[in-house]
Amino acid sequence: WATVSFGVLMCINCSGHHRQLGTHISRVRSCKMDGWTERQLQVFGSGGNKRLAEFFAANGVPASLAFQRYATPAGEWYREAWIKNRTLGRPVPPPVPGVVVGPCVDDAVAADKASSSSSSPPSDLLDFGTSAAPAAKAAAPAAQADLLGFADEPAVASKAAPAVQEADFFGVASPAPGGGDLLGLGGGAQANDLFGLSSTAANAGPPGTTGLAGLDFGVQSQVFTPVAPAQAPARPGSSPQSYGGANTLGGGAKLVAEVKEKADDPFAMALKQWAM
Amino acid sequence: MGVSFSFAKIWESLVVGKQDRKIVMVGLDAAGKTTLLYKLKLGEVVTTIPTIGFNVETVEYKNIRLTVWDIGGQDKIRKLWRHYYLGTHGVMFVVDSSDRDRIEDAREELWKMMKEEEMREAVLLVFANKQDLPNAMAAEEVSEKLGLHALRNSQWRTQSTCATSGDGIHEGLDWFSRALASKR
Repeated sequence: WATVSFGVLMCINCSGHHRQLGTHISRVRSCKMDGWTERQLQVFGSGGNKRLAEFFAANGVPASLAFQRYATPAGEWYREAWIKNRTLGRPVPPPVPGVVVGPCVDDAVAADKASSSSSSPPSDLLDFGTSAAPAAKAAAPAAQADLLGFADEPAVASKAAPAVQEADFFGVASPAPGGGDLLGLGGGAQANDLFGLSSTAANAGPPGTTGLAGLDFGVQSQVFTPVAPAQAPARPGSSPQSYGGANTLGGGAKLVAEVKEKADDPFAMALKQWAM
Repeated sequence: MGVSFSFAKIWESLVVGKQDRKIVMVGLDAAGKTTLLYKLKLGEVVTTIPTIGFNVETVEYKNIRLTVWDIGGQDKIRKLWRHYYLGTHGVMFVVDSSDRDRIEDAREELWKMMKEEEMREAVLLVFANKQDLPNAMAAEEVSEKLGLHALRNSQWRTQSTCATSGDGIHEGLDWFSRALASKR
């Protein structure tokens, strides 16, 4: 699970709290069950759990506020000014009074100013005419609304990729542009903690069958695994009432495999593109 | 046990006259489906987590008994909705009214569903939820953005709600239960 508003990864329980904040504060997506656009993936280049934690610490936002930290002025600056502008390739404006940038140093701004003769002023926050992103330029008024959800971004091309490659994504990501701290996790060891389950399972079993089950479907205990739908393509009229007897682990794995095969695999796609 | 259970059912259907109706509750992820379901069922606001699969609860309202299937709404599990359609009398379609960026996605999913053969006769109640959030669309705007006026194949209504406060839920259910009761 992740919030694209802050570029942070989290567990399913925390994702529930983030959803309660509303999408104007935190837009939550599942890493596996939601589609990801290129631009949504790019938020991790400027975000990351580590950076946000450091930012909150630098601003003295107490951990005791828990999820309300995201609704503070500091949180708003991080989301609206830092993440959004960085993702759109625009200069980041200086923080509002009372907010310090902490780890959010915009190295790109200095580079831009050196190379281009007329750089746009940092206060040009809402002027999309000068945006560096061509997509935002073309869509002028609509682009403004699109900022949070990136809804008009074309979905990443659909293509199934081997599970092993996908599971390796977070490990291999280090040589990608943006540096090794792509996910802000600090290093391979922590990345393995988060995604190790997926990685080992995928390596041990046949590609595309087990990796996902452990990661996403295994974490929730209060809800049934949707078994019948996995079988249903064979018998279109199947009713949900047939769940009780059929609720086996095997069925769950089948569902996962089915979803996976058909699904876009943006992580793997992005990896491929970055690796080039 | 089984005997007393079925006896209770017969007693209810003869004397109390409760009608059973199957309802599917769908909508984009984070629209508030599960929160609504448990507000209906328990009258309480529960802290939810994203639904992987479904939740199902029976809710009694006036003389109707609704079996509500609350189905997860993440992108890639929406294709599973259709497996729940068979025998459905009514749909609760839940919309996050504050999420203007994705109302178009909601429209697409709604229309895809209402075009299914099994859903031809289904009564549609749209919950324009999260009215408490800033810049939320009013019910009429939600209806318009979902293109409901062009929907010819069923009875529908849009009800503005706030699942956490409970506002609007009973107005919605009043209309829904009347529309469902008139159906066979």
